[in-house]
Amino acid sequence: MIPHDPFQSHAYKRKTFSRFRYPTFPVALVLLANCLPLLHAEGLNFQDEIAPIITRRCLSCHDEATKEGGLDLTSRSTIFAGGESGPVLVAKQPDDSYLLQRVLAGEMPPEEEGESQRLPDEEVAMLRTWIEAGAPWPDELTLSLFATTSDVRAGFDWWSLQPVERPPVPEINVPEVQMQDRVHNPIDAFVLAGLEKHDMTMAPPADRRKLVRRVYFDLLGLPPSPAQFDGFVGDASPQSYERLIDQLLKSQHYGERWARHWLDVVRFAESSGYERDQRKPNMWRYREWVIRAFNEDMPYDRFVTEQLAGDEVPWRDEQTVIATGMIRAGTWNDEPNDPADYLYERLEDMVHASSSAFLGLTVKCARCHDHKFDPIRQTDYYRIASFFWAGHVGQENLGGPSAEQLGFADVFGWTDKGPTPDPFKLLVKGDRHRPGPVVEPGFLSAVTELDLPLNPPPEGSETSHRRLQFANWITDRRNPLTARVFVNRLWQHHFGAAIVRSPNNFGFKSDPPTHPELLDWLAAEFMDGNWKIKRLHKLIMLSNTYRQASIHPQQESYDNIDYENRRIWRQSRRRLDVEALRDAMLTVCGQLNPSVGGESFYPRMSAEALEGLSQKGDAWGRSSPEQRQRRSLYMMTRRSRLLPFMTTFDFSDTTLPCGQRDVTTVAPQALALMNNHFVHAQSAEFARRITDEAGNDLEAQIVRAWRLALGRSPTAGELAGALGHLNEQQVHFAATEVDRLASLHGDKDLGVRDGLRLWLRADKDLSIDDQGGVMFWRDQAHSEHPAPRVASQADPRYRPRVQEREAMGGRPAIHFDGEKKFLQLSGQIFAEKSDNLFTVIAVVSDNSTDGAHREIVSNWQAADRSTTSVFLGTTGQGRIRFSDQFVEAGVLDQPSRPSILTAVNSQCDATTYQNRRLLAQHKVLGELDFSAPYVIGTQGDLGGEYWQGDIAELLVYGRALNEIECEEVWSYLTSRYSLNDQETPDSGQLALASLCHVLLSTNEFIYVD
Amino acid sequence: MKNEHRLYPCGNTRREFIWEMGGGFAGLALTGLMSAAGFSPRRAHAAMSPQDPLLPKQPHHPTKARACIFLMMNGGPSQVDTFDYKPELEKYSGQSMPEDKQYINSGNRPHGYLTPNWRPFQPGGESGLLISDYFPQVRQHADKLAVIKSCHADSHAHGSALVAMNTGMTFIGRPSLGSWCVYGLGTDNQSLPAYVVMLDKRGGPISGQPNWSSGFMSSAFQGTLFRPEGNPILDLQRPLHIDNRAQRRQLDFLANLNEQHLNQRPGGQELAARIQSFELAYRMQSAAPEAVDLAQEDQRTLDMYGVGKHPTDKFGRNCLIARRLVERGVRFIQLYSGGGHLEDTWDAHASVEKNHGQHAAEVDQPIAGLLNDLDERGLLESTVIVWGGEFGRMPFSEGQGAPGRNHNPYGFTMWLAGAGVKGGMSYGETDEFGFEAVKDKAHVHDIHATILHLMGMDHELLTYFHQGRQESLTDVHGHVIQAVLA
Repeated sequence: MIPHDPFQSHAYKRKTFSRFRYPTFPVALVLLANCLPLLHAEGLNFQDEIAPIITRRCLSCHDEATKEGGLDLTSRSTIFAGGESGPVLVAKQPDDSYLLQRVLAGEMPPEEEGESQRLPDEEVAMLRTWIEAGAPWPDELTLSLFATTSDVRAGFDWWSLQPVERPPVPEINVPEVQMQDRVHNPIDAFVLAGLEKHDMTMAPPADRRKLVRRVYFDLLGLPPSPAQFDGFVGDASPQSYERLIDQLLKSQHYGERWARHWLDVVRFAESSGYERDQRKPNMWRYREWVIRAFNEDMPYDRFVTEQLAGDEVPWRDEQTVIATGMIRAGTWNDEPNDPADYLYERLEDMVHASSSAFLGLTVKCARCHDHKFDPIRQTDYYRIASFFWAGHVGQENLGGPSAEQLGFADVFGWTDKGPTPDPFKLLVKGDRHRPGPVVEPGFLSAVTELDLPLNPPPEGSETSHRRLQFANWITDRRNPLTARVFVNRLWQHHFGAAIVRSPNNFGFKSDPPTHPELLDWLAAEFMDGNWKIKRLHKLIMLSNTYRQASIHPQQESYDNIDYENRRIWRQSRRRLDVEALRDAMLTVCGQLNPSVGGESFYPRMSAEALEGLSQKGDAWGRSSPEQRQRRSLYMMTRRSRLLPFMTTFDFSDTTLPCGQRDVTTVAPQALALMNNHFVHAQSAEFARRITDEAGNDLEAQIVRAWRLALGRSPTAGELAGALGHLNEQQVHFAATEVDRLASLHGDKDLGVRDGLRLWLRADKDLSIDDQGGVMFWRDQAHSEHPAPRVASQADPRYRPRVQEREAMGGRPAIHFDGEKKFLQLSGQIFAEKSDNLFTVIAVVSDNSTDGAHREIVSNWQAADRSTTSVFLGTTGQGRIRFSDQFVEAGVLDQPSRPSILTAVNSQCDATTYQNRRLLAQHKVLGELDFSAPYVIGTQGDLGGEYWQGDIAELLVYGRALNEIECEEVWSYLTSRYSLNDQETPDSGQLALASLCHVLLSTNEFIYVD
Repeated sequence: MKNEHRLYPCGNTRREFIWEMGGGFAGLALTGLMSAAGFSPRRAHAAMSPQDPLLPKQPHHPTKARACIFLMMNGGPSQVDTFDYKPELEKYSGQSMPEDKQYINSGNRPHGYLTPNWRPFQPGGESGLLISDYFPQVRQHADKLAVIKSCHADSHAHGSALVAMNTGMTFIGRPSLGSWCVYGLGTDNQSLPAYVVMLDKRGGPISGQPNWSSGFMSSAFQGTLFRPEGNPILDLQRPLHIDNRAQRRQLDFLANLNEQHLNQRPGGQELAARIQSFELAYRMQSAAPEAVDLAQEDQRTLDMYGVGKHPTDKFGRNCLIARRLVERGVRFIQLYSGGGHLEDTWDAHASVEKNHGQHAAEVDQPIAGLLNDLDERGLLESTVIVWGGEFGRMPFSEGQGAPGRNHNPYGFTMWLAGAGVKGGMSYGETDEFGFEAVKDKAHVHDIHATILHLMGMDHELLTYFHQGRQESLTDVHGHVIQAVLA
């Protein structure tokens, strides 16, 4: 648990571990030095003493494959054959041996990055002794850089590369009755065997309330309801636990929960990143596919195959092609510095995503040279990359095939350009300008048993069938990595920590498995169970190991022995990840919209968060409150603008595959819990729910709150504390009510003025005739318009009248009687406008009773431009029209009552609102003609569609206001016209919300035992 | 496992190793809490207590530097018009670039003719560094500057070049310079963010958040957006009806519930940490607004930065706040001049004179004020100042007789000042046109290595283990520019 200390590794310079250099290790020297007496005393052991020096020091440049200077040092015959400069070894004559001369001169191994790689004296002495002895080398022995694991790198014999063989289940110490009891299934036997070795015991079983909460969050990512808590706790039958697991595995929410884990692994997001951060259309359908795959318990081998080669499988259909969206989910730069170089960056993304997700290997580290730690040759990297090279790795279509090429509309997937890809060359040091030999597609040579050539595609195939063969290779039972890597992921999300705690890296630099036999047993069980995932969940969750409490009676002493719980002597206590945290809040507050699947929603993004964008303001969509109450999984993930609440609570970095999220405890998380808009809104809803369900009795309210949030009743102390809190807060809120209302209803100024092009106020700068008709009015926007902004109504007959008193919240309004009353504007609102973005906000009432069209503001022109004209109005019973392109733009609630009507055309969509309520949403309005003259209260130059009702204020902006700006304007208008349609909560309700807020912030809520 | 002993080749313990892998189960980033609460990080569970990743740490080598202010001229200022005087351009004015000069024509813009500097250069200070009339006030501080004229970068496009200037690589997803600094050094004030980014009011930089991301590191090291007035940090403002007293009551009751919860869970270090995190957050609510409260500054100081005056007010405020943050122990501060796109940034495609005339006028006095003020307060010797954009601009115009210049990553100017920097000097050269760096070339990696060095860190030692590899800001590249060190 020691945090990372960046200076811990002082003695080891970074470059030691760079992609480009081999490390040297003091530990190796010590070992070798210790060998010296042995060498002299018992003669020379080539295999143990000389071979390691040659392998480690020389073979990276002088093996069969690399053979620099024509020199191959892997066998007796080749070493004596020498290189381009002649023989290098003269038996029994070290001083005449060129090899030793170069070593002594410090020229071999050559320096790297300006640092000498000179061999230590001990090793030089050993080489000399060996040559003096005649350079003995067993005839049959060929050295390989990769064959065996050494102290600096993994070889072909590395544990994770060995075949999965089902290990025997350990027998547990028989006299130890208590532990025998704890063996429910083989998982327990493996874990107990480990504990027993250290004289440790398992923690007792978790109590049922804690267990049911754990099970719900693990499988669904949602908390149980009070009824679900009680149902399980009260069910004494021995099958109740198994029944619960079966029931939850059937829930559609199971797929949502586990899809999210997988989306991290495949770096899922719905945009490209970089400057324009383009939306990836239909990327969400890939998410939907993953959800369904988990819910339908798709066998994992098929799950892998469809994602890698859904376009090539015999059962190809739209769904399988959607699955290939995984290949394309990464970042994409539409403006790379060098598009030809960038092809190789994209290939790296695909190689890395697929190899880390399915194989748990860092194949990408072999892009420029052989892997420094794992037996992955540079050619292996290019073999894997060649699978993707066959595809549309270009700059078109957001870096992939078009819908036509895929054969399905509305699918964002992957396919090859054709059956015979261009030859693919290895790049020396990864440099495009140094092409090496052509690399034939193939698999990782480290899986020696399966190192077979690829077959050509079948006759008539439209693709190369490389990825399909890759998928078949991954899902071959003999592949040692696939099952191990996946069961490890499953374990991780059930225990908070995996068996191999570096879930995306099973190579030399991985964390060693805490229970290697258990890992293999699970992997074998997984494959023998036909790769079915739900079966494995159940197996794990039925184990006593899983069902342990998260604290142990020997907690303190065990902490001292094994703080990280590597031996699994207890369950781990886990902080909810951000999705579960947000979803749990929605659930207990009664707000969760549980609908499964579909497109993403845009959460409310604060002004601060929007400020960081280079495209300011309107590039963030709006979604209805119902949509925003959906599970976090469905939240729009745009790479340049992730919701701060999500990133604050350790949302995965979407640019790279993520096998395990950080779990941090930082002050910004506390700030978010204390002050974030979402948390407060939920607390208020929570309070409302409690009042609905528990009535006005304070004690009943408190009990209900506890049971909803925490699944239990409060203790006596908690009840007393909560009562005290309610009372104190209620008194406080009552005492501050006057101030609060004043600030709510006090006169506010219009804060949002950027881009304001027209601002009519019925109470300001109006010239009125003696009939009360409006002669002149002055635009309050004071924008820099080309024409004067004084508008007039010359003809007294057409003048709308000002209603001085009480028209709207005690303020004047201009009354249009529906009988040819309107206001003309002299001069243009928009001098020129090409971006099509604008906002209209009006405080109006609509008194019309017939079904006629009536307009608030319009530039309609009779001459054939109806669809491109700009107007906002209603048509019968408050049905809104927002230009002719958006004619079903929502229906006003109580149209004759004053309300704020808002219409926005943004880069994402066109939306209308009444007061703060989203009424309707439409795709972005097509090109509009902003140039024609505008009128208020009628349809352009039509001479009809006269407004019937009041207009108190009208604002037109030449840009799309974002949601937060709209809220600011609404807040200004609401207070001016006393339009508060929301009930102001009383002090008691605020106090209850305060209590709810505290409960949602408790550790008991945020952590799962 | 037979290989277990080989798993920690970096000399780290297993715990540190797991931490480096990304925390997860074992990782616990806790801001300033245990120490504030009187915990000795390694006492309770020898090597097991959660420790604050942002606690101050010792640098690799002694340095006076405590803070770094990066003045990011977003959009790419023109070197030949500001700090890199090229009299030859007069001679070649109106001629095409020689054909042997290879470059990418960013955005396929029209090719124009070599065009000399739009404003004259004059010597500044005793060193006589030539600085143009776009920066007359900065020129007065010439003796404090180490001007690096031979910078070059890897991308001609704003999006990837900005990301590279901030993270070292042209692709998104890497930790930024500020993240590396606070990862390596922690911070001196736990009530304020360690790494602050202040944007231009006109918008954020292209590519957005990845410019101040902590990439694969813990999010504890990411940059925090700071606004120059009111409540500078996200979620700092309480909702309308919750005042200080109401919130205090909530926190007291919360602490009470959490204590009972903790008592039933011995060894719950992470629970204790979260309890403390609420207290820190509560303090931040007063510390952060206080840091941006310029009412505490006297008129002379405000004037020095051009606060309250057009067009220097906005950047002046940010510079003044930067000084206040430095005083309060914030480790890394980045200020953006220019935001959004094109003419709202230093991206002078249409007209250098119009664009740079505007942007330089906004920042010249504030930057001079910052240098002056830090100097007067004795803070300049402990603060590294970095000035520059993501690339420079071409020595030729965009189109025939056009007054604008296109992007140029092949040669451009940045300057350093403050802690450990040799002032009044110029380093490196571009060719006679100011087109490409030719002498003592300084790649972005070299600039980064030098900044880390000034901050007391060795860019080769400052590593972070991620997915099987020791990652560093400069990857396998970068050399400290020794010549600019005092």
